[in-house]
Amino acid sequence: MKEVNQRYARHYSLKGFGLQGQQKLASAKVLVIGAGGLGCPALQYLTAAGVGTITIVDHDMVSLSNLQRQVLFTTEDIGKPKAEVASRRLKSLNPEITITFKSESISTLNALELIAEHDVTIDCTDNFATRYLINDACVLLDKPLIFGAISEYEGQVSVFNVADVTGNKLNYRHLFPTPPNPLEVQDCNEAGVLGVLPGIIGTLQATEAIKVITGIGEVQAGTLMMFNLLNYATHIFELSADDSVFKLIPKDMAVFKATDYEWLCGMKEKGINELSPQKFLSVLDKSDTIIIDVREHNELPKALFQCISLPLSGLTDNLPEIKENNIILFCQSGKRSLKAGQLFLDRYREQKKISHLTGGILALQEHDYG
Amino acid sequence: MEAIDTAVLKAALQIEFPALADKKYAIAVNNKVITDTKGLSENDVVALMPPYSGG
Repeated sequence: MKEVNQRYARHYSLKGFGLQGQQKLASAKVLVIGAGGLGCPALQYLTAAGVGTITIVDHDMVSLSNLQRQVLFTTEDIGKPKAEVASRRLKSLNPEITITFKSESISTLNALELIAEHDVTIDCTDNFATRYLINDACVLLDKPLIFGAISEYEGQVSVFNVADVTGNKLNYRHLFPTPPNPLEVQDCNEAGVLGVLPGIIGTLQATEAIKVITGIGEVQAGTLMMFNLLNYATHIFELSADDSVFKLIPKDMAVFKATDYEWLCGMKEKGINELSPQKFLSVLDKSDTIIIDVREHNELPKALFQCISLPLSGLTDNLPEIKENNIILFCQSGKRSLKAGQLFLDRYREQKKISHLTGGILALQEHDYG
Repeated sequence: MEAIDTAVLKAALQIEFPALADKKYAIAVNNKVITDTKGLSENDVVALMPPYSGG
C-alpha cells in the first residue's frame, strides 16, 4: 500500500482512526464464511475500507430468491458460484487488496487451517451446524469471531473470543450451550426475512471487525446485541462467564475433526438417507417406492409430482402400514421429514430404506428455478 | 405477571403460550443472560431470546 492513498482519504482525516488505523486494516487478514445476506454487505464494506487480505468461503450458487437481499449479485449471476462472483465484483471495487475465494463448504476438515490463517473470522452462515462448528474452531484456536444472525425482522450481533471488560473470553455456547434441535426453531427459509435486515446486521459485523482490527470504540465482546427492525429497539445483553460450557467444545483439534456437527444439530439421522434435490428427482419414478408429503394439508407450494399426504401431526399417534420398501419423505424445509423419518425408522428399522429430501420442497424449488 | 423466580415465570408463560414449551430460548434478567434459575424482584425486566441461524 502506498503511504497515502486518496482512496482512504476520509479514513485519514477521521479523528481517532487516521493513517494508523488504515495501516492496521491494510495488514489485517479477514475470513468471511458465507457470501449470502450477511456476507454481501460485510464483504463490500471491508473491501471498500481496505482490509488487506480477504478470503471468501461459500459453496452455494446464486439463485433468484437470493437477489431480494444479497446485493453483490445480479440477475445475470443466477446459477454461478457465489464466492467467485463476489470475489470478482469486490476486486473491481478495490483492486488494491488481496481477495481470494473458496467455492466449498466449511467443514471440520478445512475450518481450522482457514481460521488459523486469518486474524478475524466473520460468521455469515445460515445454519446452526456450521455456526457451532465455526464457534468451536475459533475457541480452539483462540481467534476472534464476529457473529451475526437474523430471522424475520430481528438480528443478533456479538464478538466471541475477545476479552470483555472483565477479561473473560466468551463464545456462542455461553448464550446457547447446545444446538437447538431443528423443530425448536423456525427455519429461515420458512420464516422469511425482510431484505434490508441482513444489510444492517452484516454492516454491523463489518463494523465490529474494523473495531477488533483497529482498536477503536468498544467491541461487542461478552455481550449480545439484539436489533429489531420494526421499532429500532436495540438491547445489549451481558453474557455470563460459565466455564462449564468449555466442556461442550471438542477438547482438541483431533476430536474437533472427528465431530459430526450436522448430526449434533439434528440435521441428519443415522439410518435416514439424505436426498439432494437432484437425487430426489431421479428416484421419483422408481418402483417399490412411495413419496410422502408430511406437511399439513394445504401448505404451499404444492408438489408437482405423484405423492401421498400424511401430515406429521397425525403420524405420531398413528403410523400407517407402508407396503413399499423405499419410503421417501419430504416437507417444507427438511426438518419435519427428518422427524417423520425417525418415526418410520423406529417402526421398520432395517426392513425398509428410508430417505428424505434435504432442504425440503423449498430446496427443490430453488434447484428447479436456479 | 407475578413470579418469585425465573423457573416459576417460565412455567407460567408456558401455560399462557403453550408453543413456548417446544422452543429453545435463553433468558436475561435486567439485560444479563442467566444460566441457572434466578430470583425475581419487583420491576425486574425479563427477556426471552431465541437462537437465530439465518444469514
